[in-house]
Amino acid sequence: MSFLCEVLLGGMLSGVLYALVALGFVLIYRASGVFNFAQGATVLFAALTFVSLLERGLSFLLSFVITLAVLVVLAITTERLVLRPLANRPPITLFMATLGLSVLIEGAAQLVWGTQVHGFDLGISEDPIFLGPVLLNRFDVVAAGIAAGLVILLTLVFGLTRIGLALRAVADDPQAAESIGINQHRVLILVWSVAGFVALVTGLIWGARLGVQFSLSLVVLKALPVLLIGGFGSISGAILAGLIVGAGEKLAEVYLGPIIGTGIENWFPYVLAIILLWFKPDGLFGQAQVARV
Amino acid sequence: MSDDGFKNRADGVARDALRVSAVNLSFGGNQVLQDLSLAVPAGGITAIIGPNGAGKSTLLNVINGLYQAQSGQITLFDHAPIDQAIQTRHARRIAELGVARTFQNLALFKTLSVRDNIRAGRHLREKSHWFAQWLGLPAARREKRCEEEVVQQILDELRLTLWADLPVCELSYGIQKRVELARALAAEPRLLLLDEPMAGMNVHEKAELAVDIRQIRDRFGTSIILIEHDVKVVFSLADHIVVLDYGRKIAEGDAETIRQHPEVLAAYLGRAKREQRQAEGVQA
Repeated sequence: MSFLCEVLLGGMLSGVLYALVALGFVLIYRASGVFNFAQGATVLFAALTFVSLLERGLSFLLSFVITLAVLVVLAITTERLVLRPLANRPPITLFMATLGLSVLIEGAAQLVWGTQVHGFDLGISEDPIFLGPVLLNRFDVVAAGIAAGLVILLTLVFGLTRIGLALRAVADDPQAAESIGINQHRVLILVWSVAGFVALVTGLIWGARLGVQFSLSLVVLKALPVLLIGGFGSISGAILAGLIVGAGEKLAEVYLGPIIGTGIENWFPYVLAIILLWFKPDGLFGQAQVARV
Repeated sequence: MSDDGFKNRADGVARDALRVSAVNLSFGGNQVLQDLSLAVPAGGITAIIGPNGAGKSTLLNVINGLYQAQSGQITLFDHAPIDQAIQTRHARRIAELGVARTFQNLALFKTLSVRDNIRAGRHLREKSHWFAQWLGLPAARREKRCEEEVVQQILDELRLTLWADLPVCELSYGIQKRVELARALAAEPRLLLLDEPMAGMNVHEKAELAVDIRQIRDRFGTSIILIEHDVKVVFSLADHIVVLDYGRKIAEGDAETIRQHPEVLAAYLGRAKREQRQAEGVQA
Protein backbone atom coordinates (compact mmCIF):
# COMPACT_ATOMS: atom_id res chain seq x y z
CA MET A 1 0.00 0.00 0.00
CA SER A 2 2.82 2.39 0.92
CA PHE A 3 4.42 1.62 -2.48
CA LEU A 4 1.20 2.59 -4.26
CA CYS A 5 1.09 5.82 -2.23
CA GLU A 6 4.71 6.46 -3.11
CA VAL A 7 4.05 6.04 -6.83
CA LEU A 8 0.89 8.11 -6.64
CA LEU A 9 2.45 10.98 -4.67
CA GLY A 10 5.64 10.95 -6.76
CA GLY A 11 3.49 11.14 -9.87
CA MET A 12 1.40 13.98 -8.49
CA LEU A 13 4.51 15.96 -7.60
CA SER A 14 5.68 15.63 -11.22
CA GLY A 15 2.16 16.55 -12.20
CA VAL A 16 2.43 19.92 -10.44
CA LEU A 17 5.37 20.67 -12.74
CA TYR A 18 3.30 19.71 -15.77
CA ALA A 19 0.59 22.04 -14.49
CA LEU A 20 3.21 24.80 -14.30
CA VAL A 21 4.14 24.27 -17.96
CA ALA A 22 0.46 24.24 -18.90
CA LEU A 23 -0.18 27.43 -16.91
CA GLY A 24 1.89 29.49 -19.38
CA PHE A 25 -0.35 28.26 -22.20
CA VAL A 26 -3.56 28.80 -20.23
CA LEU A 27 -2.75 32.44 -19.41
CA ILE A 28 -2.18 33.36 -23.02
CA TYR A 29 -5.14 31.33 -24.25
CA ARG A 30 -7.44 33.05 -21.74
CA ALA A 31 -6.37 36.53 -22.80
CA SER A 32 -6.07 36.14 -26.54
CA GLY A 33 -7.62 32.80 -27.50
CA VAL A 34 -4.26 31.81 -28.97
CA PHE A 35 -2.61 28.46 -28.42
CA ASN A 36 0.92 29.81 -28.05
CA PHE A 37 3.15 27.14 -29.52
CA ALA A 38 6.16 29.36 -28.70
CA GLN A 39 5.71 28.80 -24.93
CA GLY A 40 8.12 25.82 -25.04
CA ALA A 41 10.73 27.90 -26.90
CA THR A 42 10.21 30.69 -24.35
CA VAL A 43 10.98 28.22 -21.54
CA LEU A 44 14.25 27.36 -23.30
CA PHE A 45 15.04 31.00 -24.07
CA ALA A 46 14.39 32.08 -20.47
CA ALA A 47 16.49 29.28 -18.98
CA LEU A 48 19.35 29.90 -21.43
CA THR A 49 19.36 33.65 -20.76
CA PHE A 50 19.37 33.07 -17.01
CA VAL A 51 22.14 30.43 -17.07
CA SER A 52 24.31 32.50 -19.42
CA LEU A 53 24.08 35.48 -17.06
CA LEU A 54 24.85 33.23 -14.10
CA GLU A 55 27.88 31.81 -15.94
CA ARG A 56 29.15 35.37 -16.47
CA GLY A 57 29.37 35.78 -12.71
CA LEU A 58 26.11 37.64 -11.99
CA SER A 59 24.24 36.78 -8.81
CA PHE A 60 21.13 34.57 -8.86
CA LEU A 61 18.81 37.49 -8.09
CA LEU A 62 20.34 39.86 -10.65
CA SER A 63 20.28 37.15 -13.33
CA PHE A 64 16.63 36.49 -12.50
CA VAL A 65 15.66 40.16 -12.69
CA ILE A 66 17.55 40.78 -15.95
CA THR A 67 16.03 37.66 -17.53
CA LEU A 68 12.60 38.84 -16.47
CA ALA A 69 13.26 42.23 -18.10
CA VAL A 70 14.34 40.48 -21.31
CA LEU A 71 11.11 38.46 -21.26
CA VAL A 72 9.04 41.64 -20.86
CA VAL A 73 10.84 43.08 -23.92
CA LEU A 74 10.05 39.84 -25.77
CA ALA A 75 6.38 40.20 -24.76
CA ILE A 76 6.24 43.81 -25.99
CA THR A 77 7.94 42.85 -29.27
CA THR A 78 5.56 39.92 -29.77
CA GLU A 79 2.52 42.12 -29.14
CA ARG A 80 3.72 44.84 -31.50
CA LEU A 81 5.06 42.69 -34.34
CA VAL A 82 2.90 39.56 -34.21
CA LEU A 83 -0.35 40.01 -32.29
CA ARG A 84 -1.29 43.57 -33.26
CA PRO A 85 -0.87 43.15 -37.04
CA LEU A 86 -2.78 39.85 -36.88
CA ALA A 87 -5.66 41.13 -34.74
CA ASN A 88 -9.08 39.78 -35.82
CA ARG A 89 -7.47 37.02 -37.92
CA PRO A 90 -8.68 33.42 -37.51
CA PRO A 91 -7.14 31.45 -34.58
CA ILE A 92 -5.30 29.15 -37.00
CA THR A 93 -3.39 32.17 -38.41
CA LEU A 94 -2.29 33.19 -34.92
CA PHE A 95 -1.37 29.60 -34.09
CA MET A 96 0.83 29.41 -37.19
CA ALA A 97 2.38 32.75 -36.23
CA THR A 98 3.33 31.37 -32.80
CA LEU A 99 4.77 28.32 -34.54
CA GLY A 100 6.97 30.66 -36.56
CA LEU A 101 7.79 32.61 -33.41
CA SER A 102 8.86 29.38 -31.74
CA VAL A 103 11.33 28.61 -34.54
CA LEU A 104 12.58 32.21 -34.45
CA ILE A 105 13.18 32.20 -30.67
CA GLU A 106 14.95 28.83 -30.79
CA GLY A 107 17.09 30.00 -33.71
CA ALA A 108 18.01 33.23 -31.92
CA ALA A 109 18.87 31.29 -28.75
CA GLN A 110 21.09 28.93 -30.74
CA LEU A 111 22.78 31.87 -32.46
CA VAL A 112 23.55 33.68 -29.22
CA TRP A 113 24.33 30.85 -26.81
CA GLY A 114 25.30 27.92 -29.02
CA THR A 115 23.97 24.39 -28.69
CA GLN A 116 25.95 22.98 -25.77
CA VAL A 117 24.22 21.73 -22.63
CA HIS A 118 24.53 24.08 -19.65
CA GLY A 119 24.72 22.40 -16.26
CA PHE A 120 22.74 24.24 -13.63
CA ASP A 121 22.17 23.65 -9.93
CA LEU A 122 19.28 25.24 -8.04
CA GLY A 123 20.87 24.14 -4.76
CA ILE A 124 18.10 21.68 -3.94
CA SER A 125 19.35 18.19 -3.12
CA GLU A 126 17.78 15.07 -4.60
CA ASP A 127 18.00 13.28 -1.22
CA PRO A 128 15.02 11.16 -0.31
CA ILE A 129 12.71 12.38 2.41
CA PHE A 130 10.08 10.41 4.28
CA LEU A 131 6.47 11.47 4.55
CA GLY A 132 5.37 8.86 7.10
CA PRO A 133 6.11 5.55 5.43
CA VAL A 134 6.19 7.15 1.97
CA LEU A 135 9.56 7.90 0.38
CA LEU A 136 9.77 11.03 -1.79
CA ASN A 137 12.43 12.92 -3.72
CA ARG A 138 13.30 16.22 -1.96
CA PHE A 139 13.77 18.06 -5.29
CA ASP A 140 10.31 16.99 -6.43
CA VAL A 141 8.75 18.22 -3.19
CA VAL A 142 10.48 21.63 -3.28
CA ALA A 143 9.83 22.09 -7.02
CA ALA A 144 6.15 21.18 -6.54
CA GLY A 145 6.00 23.67 -3.63
CA ILE A 146 7.42 26.46 -5.82
CA ALA A 147 5.04 25.59 -8.66
CA ALA A 148 2.04 25.42 -6.33
CA GLY A 149 3.02 28.78 -4.78
CA LEU A 150 3.21 30.37 -8.22
CA VAL A 151 -0.15 28.96 -9.25
CA ILE A 152 -1.78 30.27 -6.05
CA LEU A 153 -0.13 33.68 -6.50
CA LEU A 154 -1.40 34.04 -10.06
CA THR A 155 -4.85 32.76 -9.18
CA LEU A 156 -5.10 35.42 -6.46
CA VAL A 157 -3.81 38.19 -8.73
CA PHE A 158 -6.30 37.36 -11.46
CA GLY A 159 -9.13 36.57 -9.03
CA LEU A 160 -8.88 39.56 -6.70
CA THR A 161 -7.92 42.37 -9.05
CA ARG A 162 -9.45 43.99 -12.10
CA ILE A 163 -6.67 42.48 -14.23
CA GLY A 164 -8.40 39.08 -14.31
CA LEU A 165 -11.66 40.62 -15.48
CA ALA A 166 -9.92 42.75 -18.10
CA LEU A 167 -8.04 39.69 -19.31
CA ARG A 168 -11.23 37.69 -19.85
CA ALA A 169 -13.00 40.65 -21.40
CA VAL A 170 -10.22 41.09 -23.97
CA ALA A 171 -10.29 37.36 -24.72
CA ASP A 172 -14.06 37.37 -25.26
CA ASP A 173 -14.37 40.50 -27.40
CA PRO A 174 -11.36 42.80 -27.92
CA GLN A 175 -13.41 45.45 -29.71
CA ALA A 176 -16.02 45.66 -26.95
CA ALA A 177 -13.22 45.69 -24.36
CA GLU A 178 -11.65 48.73 -26.05
CA SER A 179 -15.06 50.40 -26.15
CA ILE A 180 -15.32 50.25 -22.35
CA GLY A 181 -11.83 51.65 -21.94
CA ILE A 182 -9.73 48.49 -21.50
CA ASN A 183 -6.34 48.84 -23.15
CA GLN A 184 -6.12 45.49 -24.91
CA HIS A 185 -2.51 46.02 -25.96
CA ARG A 186 -1.46 46.58 -22.37
CA VAL A 187 -3.43 43.54 -21.20
CA LEU A 188 -1.77 41.36 -23.85
CA ILE A 189 1.71 42.62 -22.96
CA LEU A 190 1.00 41.95 -19.29
CA VAL A 191 -0.25 38.44 -19.92
CA TRP A 192 2.63 37.54 -22.25
CA SER A 193 5.05 38.94 -19.65
CA VAL A 194 3.46 36.85 -16.88
CA ALA A 195 3.58 33.81 -19.17
CA GLY A 196 7.28 34.65 -19.66
CA PHE A 197 7.74 34.71 -15.88
CA VAL A 198 6.05 31.30 -15.65
CA ALA A 199 8.33 30.08 -18.47
CA LEU A 200 11.37 31.28 -16.53
CA VAL A 201 10.37 29.42 -13.36
CA THR A 202 9.52 26.35 -15.46
CA GLY A 203 12.86 26.58 -17.28
CA LEU A 204 14.80 26.83 -14.02
CA ILE A 205 13.11 23.83 -12.41
CA TRP A 206 13.23 21.63 -15.52
CA GLY A 207 16.71 22.93 -16.41
CA ALA A 208 18.04 22.04 -12.96
CA ARG A 209 16.77 18.51 -13.47
CA LEU A 210 17.60 17.87 -17.14
CA GLY A 211 20.30 20.48 -17.83
CA VAL A 212 19.57 23.62 -19.86
CA GLN A 213 19.52 22.29 -23.41
CA PHE A 214 17.41 22.50 -26.55
CA SER A 215 15.23 19.53 -25.64
CA LEU A 216 13.81 21.81 -22.93
CA SER A 217 11.53 23.38 -25.52
CA LEU A 218 9.85 19.97 -25.83
CA VAL A 219 8.22 20.43 -22.42
CA VAL A 220 5.36 21.65 -24.59
CA LEU A 221 4.64 17.97 -25.28
CA LYS A 222 4.09 17.44 -21.55
CA ALA A 223 1.67 20.35 -21.41
CA LEU A 224 -0.54 19.28 -24.31
CA PRO A 225 -2.36 16.37 -22.62
CA VAL A 226 -2.72 18.50 -19.48
CA LEU A 227 -4.40 21.24 -21.53
CA LEU A 228 -6.63 18.77 -23.35
CA ILE A 229 -7.79 17.21 -20.10
CA GLY A 230 -8.12 20.40 -18.06
CA GLY A 231 -9.59 22.63 -20.77
CA PHE A 232 -7.49 25.25 -22.53
CA GLY A 233 -8.66 28.30 -20.61
CA SER A 234 -8.85 27.07 -17.04
CA ILE A 235 -6.17 27.52 -14.36
CA SER A 236 -7.96 25.09 -12.00
CA GLY A 237 -8.29 22.67 -14.92
CA ALA A 238 -4.55 22.86 -15.58
CA ILE A 239 -3.77 22.07 -11.94
CA LEU A 240 -6.16 19.13 -11.69
CA ALA A 241 -5.17 17.76 -15.09
CA GLY A 242 -1.49 18.10 -14.20
CA LEU A 243 -2.08 15.95 -11.12
CA ILE A 244 -4.10 13.41 -13.14
CA VAL A 245 -1.46 13.20 -15.86
CA GLY A 246 1.43 12.97 -13.38
CA ALA A 247 -0.21 10.29 -11.28
CA GLY A 248 -1.57 8.46 -14.35
CA GLU A 249 1.73 8.21 -16.15
CA LYS A 250 3.61 6.97 -13.06
CA LEU A 251 0.96 4.37 -12.27
CA ALA A 252 1.00 3.24 -15.90
CA GLU A 253 4.79 3.09 -15.90
CA VAL A 254 4.90 0.95 -12.75
CA TYR A 255 1.90 -1.32 -13.27
CA LEU A 256 1.43 -1.46 -17.06
CA GLY A 257 5.06 -0.91 -18.10
CA PRO A 258 6.19 -4.48 -17.35
CA ILE A 259 3.30 -5.84 -19.48
CA ILE A 260 3.26 -3.38 -22.42
CA GLY A 261 6.87 -2.21 -22.46
CA THR A 262 8.99 0.72 -21.32
CA GLY A 263 8.43 4.34 -22.40
CA ILE A 264 4.72 4.12 -21.64
CA GLU A 265 4.88 7.36 -19.61
CA ASN A 266 5.57 9.32 -22.80
CA TRP A 267 2.34 8.38 -24.57
CA PHE A 268 -0.01 7.27 -21.79
CA PRO A 269 -1.12 10.88 -20.95
CA TYR A 270 -2.30 11.25 -24.56
CA VAL A 271 -4.37 8.07 -24.24
CA LEU A 272 -5.91 9.49 -21.07
CA ALA A 273 -6.65 12.74 -22.90
CA ILE A 274 -8.29 10.99 -25.87
CA ILE A 275 -10.49 8.86 -23.60
CA LEU A 276 -11.58 11.94 -21.65
CA LEU A 277 -12.32 13.88 -24.84
CA TRP A 278 -14.87 11.22 -25.82
CA PHE A 279 -16.93 12.27 -22.79
CA LYS A 280 -15.87 15.89 -22.26
CA PRO A 281 -14.87 17.44 -25.61
CA ASP A 282 -13.99 20.75 -23.96
CA GLY A 283 -11.95 19.19 -21.16
CA LEU A 284 -12.87 18.96 -17.48
CA PHE A 285 -13.11 22.73 -16.92
CA GLY A 286 -13.33 23.99 -20.50
CA GLN A 287 -16.16 26.27 -21.52
CA ALA A 288 -18.46 24.68 -24.07
CA GLN A 289 -18.52 26.71 -27.29
CA VAL A 290 -21.90 28.30 -27.87
CA ALA A 291 -22.58 29.88 -31.23
CA ARG A 292 -25.68 31.40 -32.83
CA VAL A 293 -26.19 29.60 -36.16
CA MET B 1 -25.05 54.98 -9.03
CA SER B 2 -24.62 58.49 -7.64
CA ASP B 3 -27.14 60.68 -9.44
CA ASP B 4 -25.55 63.97 -8.41
CA GLY B 5 -21.99 63.71 -9.65
CA PHE B 6 -23.19 62.23 -12.85
CA LYS B 7 -25.84 64.84 -13.56
CA ASN B 8 -23.56 67.75 -12.74
CA ARG B 9 -21.13 66.71 -15.42
CA ALA B 10 -23.87 66.38 -17.99
CA ASP B 11 -25.19 69.83 -17.11
CA GLY B 12 -21.81 71.35 -17.90
CA VAL B 13 -21.17 74.14 -20.37
CA ALA B 14 -21.52 72.00 -23.49
CA ARG B 15 -24.82 72.79 -25.26
CA ASP B 16 -24.26 70.02 -27.74
CA ALA B 17 -23.12 66.63 -26.54
CA LEU B 18 -21.80 65.88 -30.01
CA ARG B 19 -21.14 67.72 -33.22
CA VAL B 20 -20.36 65.85 -36.41
CA SER B 21 -18.95 68.12 -39.12
CA ALA B 22 -18.57 67.19 -42.79
CA VAL B 23 -17.67 63.56 -42.15
CA ASN B 24 -16.92 61.37 -45.15
CA LEU B 25 -16.27 57.65 -45.06
CA SER B 26 -16.02 55.14 -47.86
CA PHE B 27 -15.14 51.47 -47.96
CA GLY B 28 -13.48 50.80 -51.29
CA GLY B 29 -15.65 52.59 -53.84
CA ASN B 30 -18.72 52.57 -51.61
CA GLN B 31 -19.39 55.97 -50.03
CA VAL B 32 -21.02 55.09 -46.69
CA LEU B 33 -21.14 58.56 -45.11
CA GLN B 34 -21.36 61.61 -47.37
CA ASP B 35 -20.42 65.02 -46.07
CA LEU B 36 -22.45 64.31 -42.96
CA SER B 37 -23.00 67.02 -40.36
CA LEU B 38 -25.27 66.90 -37.35
CA ALA B 39 -25.53 68.05 -33.76
CA VAL B 40 -26.80 66.09 -30.77
CA PRO B 41 -28.22 68.34 -28.03
CA ALA B 42 -26.90 67.61 -24.53
CA GLY B 43 -29.26 65.82 -22.17
CA GLY B 44 -31.71 64.67 -24.82
CA ILE B 45 -32.59 61.59 -26.83
CA THR B 46 -31.60 61.86 -30.48
CA ALA B 47 -32.81 59.10 -32.77
CA ILE B 48 -31.09 58.25 -36.00
CA ILE B 49 -33.36 56.50 -38.44
CA GLY B 50 -33.21 55.47 -42.05
CA PRO B 51 -33.53 52.44 -44.31
CA ASN B 52 -31.08 49.54 -44.08
CA GLY B 53 -27.68 50.54 -45.38
CA ALA B 54 -28.27 54.23 -44.65
CA GLY B 55 -25.06 54.39 -42.62
CA LYS B 56 -26.58 54.59 -39.11
CA SER B 57 -24.38 51.98 -37.40
CA THR B 58 -21.37 53.18 -39.37
CA LEU B 59 -21.93 56.67 -37.98
CA LEU B 60 -22.00 55.24 -34.45
CA ASN B 61 -18.76 53.38 -35.15
CA VAL B 62 -17.15 56.62 -36.29
CA ILE B 63 -18.36 58.51 -33.20
CA ASN B 64 -17.18 55.64 -30.99
CA GLY B 65 -13.75 55.57 -32.65
CA LEU B 66 -14.00 52.05 -34.04
CA TYR B 67 -13.94 53.45 -37.59
CA GLN B 68 -11.84 56.34 -38.74
CA ALA B 69 -13.49 58.61 -41.30
CA GLN B 70 -11.42 59.91 -44.21
CA SER B 71 -12.29 63.55 -43.46
CA GLY B 72 -14.38 65.70 -41.15
CA GLN B 73 -14.45 66.46 -37.46
CA ILE B 74 -16.13 65.01 -34.38
CA THR B 75 -16.53 67.25 -31.34
CA LEU B 76 -17.57 65.74 -28.02
CA PHE B 77 -18.96 68.08 -25.35
CA ASP B 78 -16.52 70.90 -24.75
CA HIS B 79 -13.43 68.95 -25.83
CA ALA B 80 -11.26 69.94 -28.76
CA PRO B 81 -12.54 68.64 -32.13
CA ILE B 82 -11.18 65.25 -33.18
CA ASP B 83 -9.91 65.61 -36.72
CA GLN B 84 -10.78 62.37 -38.48
CA ALA B 85 -8.09 62.70 -41.14
CA ILE B 86 -5.36 62.94 -38.48
CA GLN B 87 -6.50 60.77 -35.59
CA THR B 88 -6.15 57.04 -35.74
CA ARG B 89 -8.87 54.75 -34.42
CA HIS B 90 -9.26 55.41 -30.73
CA ALA B 91 -12.27 53.69 -29.14
CA ARG B 92 -10.56 53.58 -25.74
CA ARG B 93 -9.86 57.33 -25.71
CA ILE B 94 -13.44 58.09 -26.73
CA ALA B 95 -14.60 55.93 -23.81
CA GLU B 96 -12.39 57.99 -21.52
CA LEU B 97 -14.21 61.14 -22.72
CA GLY B 98 -17.48 59.67 -21.42
CA VAL B 99 -18.96 57.77 -24.35
CA ALA B 100 -20.41 54.28 -23.90
CA ARG B 101 -22.30 52.18 -26.36
CA THR B 102 -24.19 49.02 -27.24
CA PHE B 103 -23.72 47.19 -30.52
CA GLN B 104 -26.13 46.19 -33.28
CA ASN B 105 -24.80 42.64 -33.10
CA LEU B 106 -24.28 41.82 -29.43
CA ALA B 107 -20.73 42.36 -28.21
CA LEU B 108 -20.86 40.94 -24.70
CA PHE B 109 -18.18 39.09 -22.78
CA LYS B 110 -19.91 35.78 -23.26
CA THR B 111 -17.96 33.66 -20.80
CA LEU B 112 -18.51 36.19 -17.99
CA SER B 113 -21.59 36.36 -15.80
CA VAL B 114 -24.08 39.21 -16.10
CA ARG B 115 -22.63 40.74 -12.92
CA ASP B 116 -19.06 40.53 -14.23
CA ASN B 117 -20.07 42.08 -17.56
CA ILE B 118 -21.44 45.07 -15.65
CA ARG B 119 -18.35 45.14 -13.41
CA ALA B 120 -16.21 45.19 -16.55
CA GLY B 121 -18.20 48.23 -17.67
CA ARG B 122 -16.90 50.02 -14.53
CA HIS B 123 -13.30 49.63 -15.73
CA LEU B 124 -12.67 53.35 -16.20
CA ARG B 125 -14.37 54.19 -12.91
CA GLU B 126 -11.97 52.07 -10.81
CA LYS B 127 -9.24 54.24 -9.37
CA SER B 128 -7.31 51.98 -6.99
CA HIS B 129 -4.20 50.26 -8.29
CA TRP B 130 -4.44 46.52 -8.96
CA PHE B 131 -1.69 45.92 -6.41
CA ALA B 132 -3.77 47.67 -3.73
CA GLN B 133 -6.74 45.53 -4.76
CA TRP B 134 -4.62 42.41 -4.48
CA LEU B 135 -3.36 43.40 -1.03
CA GLY B 136 -6.90 44.29 -0.01
CA LEU B 137 -5.91 47.76 1.28
CA PRO B 138 -8.74 49.70 3.00
CA ALA B 139 -9.21 52.24 0.18
CA ALA B 140 -9.37 49.45 -2.41
CA ARG B 141 -11.84 47.51 -0.25
CA ARG B 142 -14.02 50.60 0.15
CA GLU B 143 -13.98 51.15 -3.59
CA LYS B 144 -14.88 47.54 -4.21
CA ARG B 145 -17.84 47.72 -1.82
CA CYS B 146 -19.03 50.88 -3.57
CA GLU B 147 -18.60 49.21 -6.98
CA GLU B 148 -20.64 46.21 -5.85
CA GLU B 149 -23.47 48.52 -4.72
CA VAL B 150 -23.51 50.32 -8.06
CA VAL B 151 -23.53 47.03 -9.97
CA GLN B 152 -26.38 45.70 -7.80
CA GLN B 153 -28.36 48.89 -8.36
CA ILE B 154 -28.00 48.57 -12.13
CA LEU B 155 -28.98 44.90 -11.93
CA ASP B 156 -32.12 45.83 -9.99
CA GLU B 157 -33.07 48.76 -12.20
CA LEU B 158 -32.74 46.80 -15.42
CA ARG B 159 -34.44 43.74 -13.90
CA LEU B 160 -31.41 41.50 -14.31
CA THR B 161 -30.92 40.32 -10.71
CA LEU B 162 -32.47 36.93 -11.44
CA TRP B 163 -29.70 36.11 -13.92
CA ALA B 164 -26.89 38.05 -12.22
CA ASP B 165 -24.55 35.11 -11.74
CA LEU B 166 -25.27 33.20 -14.95
CA PRO B 167 -22.90 33.37 -17.93
CA VAL B 168 -24.47 35.66 -20.51
CA CYS B 169 -24.12 33.05 -23.25
CA GLU B 170 -26.88 31.06 -21.52
CA LEU B 171 -29.41 33.89 -21.66
CA SER B 172 -32.01 34.80 -24.28
CA TYR B 173 -31.26 37.45 -26.91
CA GLY B 174 -33.60 40.00 -25.33
CA ILE B 175 -31.95 39.67 -21.91
CA GLN B 176 -28.49 39.85 -23.45
CA LYS B 177 -29.53 43.15 -25.05
CA ARG B 178 -30.44 44.47 -21.58
CA VAL B 179 -27.10 43.25 -20.18
CA GLU B 180 -25.30 45.21 -22.87
CA LEU B 181 -27.24 48.33 -21.92
CA ALA B 182 -26.42 47.68 -18.25
CA ARG B 183 -22.71 47.36 -19.07
CA ALA B 184 -22.76 50.65 -20.98
CA LEU B 185 -24.63 52.34 -18.14
CA ALA B 186 -22.08 51.09 -15.60
CA ALA B 187 -19.52 53.45 -17.13
CA GLU B 188 -21.75 56.40 -16.10
CA PRO B 189 -21.47 57.84 -19.62
CA ARG B 190 -22.20 61.42 -20.63
CA LEU B 191 -23.14 60.20 -24.10
CA LEU B 192 -24.78 56.82 -24.60
CA LEU B 193 -24.90 55.26 -28.07
CA LEU B 194 -27.64 52.64 -28.42
CA ASP B 195 -27.56 50.63 -31.63
CA GLU B 196 -30.91 48.88 -32.02
CA PRO B 197 -31.28 48.09 -28.31
CA MET B 198 -34.80 46.72 -28.86
CA ALA B 199 -34.00 44.28 -31.66
CA GLY B 200 -35.45 40.86 -30.92
CA MET B 201 -37.77 42.13 -28.17
CA ASN B 202 -41.53 41.74 -28.01
CA VAL B 203 -43.90 44.70 -27.66
CA HIS B 204 -44.02 44.44 -23.86
CA GLU B 205 -40.22 44.28 -23.53
CA LYS B 206 -39.85 47.24 -25.92
CA ALA B 207 -42.24 49.32 -23.81
CA GLU B 208 -40.28 48.49 -20.65
CA LEU B 209 -36.96 49.36 -22.26
CA ALA B 210 -38.38 52.62 -23.59
CA VAL B 211 -39.25 53.58 -20.00
CA ASP B 212 -35.70 52.62 -18.92
CA ILE B 213 -34.12 54.78 -21.64
CA ARG B 214 -36.26 57.74 -20.71
CA GLN B 215 -35.33 57.28 -17.04
CA ILE B 216 -31.63 57.19 -17.88
CA ARG B 217 -31.97 60.56 -19.59
CA ASP B 218 -34.13 62.10 -16.86
CA ARG B 219 -32.20 60.83 -13.81
CA PHE B 220 -28.64 61.16 -15.02
CA GLY B 221 -28.93 63.83 -17.71
CA THR B 222 -27.25 61.44 -20.11
CA SER B 223 -27.33 62.41 -23.77
CA ILE B 224 -28.53 59.46 -25.82
CA ILE B 225 -28.23 58.57 -29.49
CA LEU B 226 -30.68 55.85 -30.42
CA ILE B 227 -30.79 53.80 -33.59
CA GLU B 228 -34.10 51.99 -33.83
CA HIS B 229 -36.17 50.56 -36.67
CA ASP B 230 -39.49 50.71 -34.83
CA VAL B 231 -40.61 54.17 -35.93
CA LYS B 232 -43.47 54.18 -33.42
CA VAL B 233 -40.99 53.80 -30.55
CA VAL B 234 -38.72 56.44 -32.06
CA PHE B 235 -41.50 59.01 -32.38
CA SER B 236 -42.62 58.45 -28.79
CA LEU B 237 -39.11 58.50 -27.29
CA ALA B 238 -36.91 60.90 -29.23
CA ASP B 239 -36.59 64.63 -28.62
CA HIS B 240 -34.73 65.04 -31.88
CA ILE B 241 -34.64 62.84 -34.98
CA VAL B 242 -32.05 62.67 -37.75
CA VAL B 243 -32.89 60.76 -40.93
CA LEU B 244 -30.16 59.25 -43.07
CA ASP B 245 -30.39 57.73 -46.51
CA TYR B 246 -27.41 56.40 -48.47
CA GLY B 247 -25.04 58.04 -45.99
CA ARG B 248 -26.61 61.50 -46.39
CA LYS B 249 -28.68 63.43 -43.91
CA ILE B 250 -32.04 64.02 -45.56
CA ALA B 251 -33.90 65.52 -42.61
CA GLU B 252 -33.75 66.42 -38.94
CA GLY B 253 -36.13 67.85 -36.39
CA ASP B 254 -38.82 66.76 -33.96
CA ALA B 255 -41.26 63.90 -34.58
CA GLU B 256 -43.90 66.09 -36.21
CA THR B 257 -41.40 67.65 -38.65
CA ILE B 258 -40.04 64.25 -39.63
CA ARG B 259 -43.50 62.72 -40.12
CA GLN B 260 -44.33 65.27 -42.78
CA HIS B 261 -40.93 65.70 -44.39
CA PRO B 262 -41.26 64.96 -48.14
CA GLU B 263 -37.79 63.41 -48.52
CA VAL B 264 -38.38 61.12 -45.55
CA LEU B 265 -41.69 60.01 -46.98
CA ALA B 266 -40.05 59.44 -50.35
CA ALA B 267 -37.21 57.42 -48.79
CA TYR B 268 -39.53 55.23 -46.75
CA LEU B 269 -42.42 54.96 -49.20
CA GLY B 270 -40.00 54.54 -52.07
CA ARG B 271 -38.41 51.65 -50.26
CA ALA B 272 -41.82 50.16 -49.48
CA LYS B 273 -42.80 50.39 -53.15
CA ARG B 274 -39.53 48.82 -54.26
CA GLU B 275 -40.01 45.97 -51.77
CA GLN B 276 -43.60 45.49 -52.89
CA ARG B 277 -42.51 45.31 -56.55
CA GLN B 278 -39.76 42.84 -55.65
CA ALA B 279 -42.27 40.68 -53.77
CA GLU B 280 -44.63 40.74 -56.74
CA GLY B 281 -41.75 39.82 -59.02
CA VAL B 282 -40.86 36.82 -56.86
CA GLN B 283 -44.49 35.64 -56.82
CA ALA B 284 -44.77 36.03 -60.57
